[in-house]
Amino acid sequence: MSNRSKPIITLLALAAFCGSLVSMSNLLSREKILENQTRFAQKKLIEIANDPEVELHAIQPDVYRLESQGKTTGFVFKQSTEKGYNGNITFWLGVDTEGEILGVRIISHKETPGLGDKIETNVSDWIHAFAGASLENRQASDWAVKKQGGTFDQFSGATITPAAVIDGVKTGLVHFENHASSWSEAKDKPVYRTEESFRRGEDDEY
Amino acid sequence: MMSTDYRALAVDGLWLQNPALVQLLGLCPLLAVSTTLVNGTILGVVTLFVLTASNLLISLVKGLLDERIRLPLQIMVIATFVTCADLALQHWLFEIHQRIGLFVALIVTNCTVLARAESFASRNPVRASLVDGFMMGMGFLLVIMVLSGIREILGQGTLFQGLALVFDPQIFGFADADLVIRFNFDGLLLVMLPPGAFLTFGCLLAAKNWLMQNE
Repeated sequence: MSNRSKPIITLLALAAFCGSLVSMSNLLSREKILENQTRFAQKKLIEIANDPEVELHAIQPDVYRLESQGKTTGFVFKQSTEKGYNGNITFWLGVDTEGEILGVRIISHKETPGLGDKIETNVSDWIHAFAGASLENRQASDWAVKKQGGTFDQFSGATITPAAVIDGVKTGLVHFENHASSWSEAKDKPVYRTEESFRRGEDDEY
Repeated sequence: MMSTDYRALAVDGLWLQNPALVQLLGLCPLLAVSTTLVNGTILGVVTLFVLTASNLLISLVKGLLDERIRLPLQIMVIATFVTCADLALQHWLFEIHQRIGLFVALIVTNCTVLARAESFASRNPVRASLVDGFMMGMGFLLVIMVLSGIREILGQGTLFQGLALVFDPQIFGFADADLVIRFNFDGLLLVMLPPGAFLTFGCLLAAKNWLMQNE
């Protein structure tokens, strides 16, 4: 082997080794990771219903109807905002039939640990402040952190994250207003999605 | 064959040449993730794994290392193990990964890992490199545990917050909240913020230097 080709071959061989190591870990963990993501999203979804009596019926991808004693009590749907400090913040928004918020739960985010992660329920109670709010009982200017004249607390050291969530929730309520009537008439689509499509938020044929 | 002084390697990694306290390497993750003991410990353990594994592999192939490809090759090896660790974390500790995943990927840029590969593993026997990587990793782990423990107590008045995400306490008949120790004060915000990380770390450095002077 000439002196010039030796480093190239070394590099190639090790790259192949490292590549296969990563691919192998990916193969071994992929299914479990998808399952974890799905379970995490479902756990958060159930938290909003917050009542074993309430049934969740899927009516569209990422839209669920809440039913209690045969009556529709509200809807939970997935929303996302790009205004976070670091990438998308995805969350469930639960709204009752009157348009009042039942609850909000973060599904995924990449906000700074220790500062922006106070939007998670296991870090702080902040997200519960949305319960009961609606477009009708709050003025447009209320949908902001206190520092910017709104009614929601900011986090010390992090304003962008809560502001992004507040904005996303408000946008979600408008989305609900526009879809409430079609959702009320929508039929249930039980078990119409694979776990993977659940994660990607894609439609399955049904 | 030259015998390696493993004891000296241990003392170096944990104390005399501690990567964080003496070499002041890898401060970005150290300061950024040391907000709660659980977060800090997990990041420390992942760093420990990456350091040990990359030292091992680099030492195994050190005969093939050429001047021109040495650095890219080392970074590739380190990135490989970081990616594997990241996937493993998503596999077993998904909710922890939700919180510190950003910084796990950044372990690639932790200078401690490259420094050990470059200055130790690429010129020492395999077993010594393995021990060196492990001990340096332990040194980092211990510092981040102490730092994050202090910051969690002083900064938000709790300890072990998030432990329920690591293992399910209900197996032992506890509720999630029982695992968290809550102190009777809200904590000093400053300690949680980045400047607080530097200040706390500065105090640790001072304590370490004072101890060494009095040895």
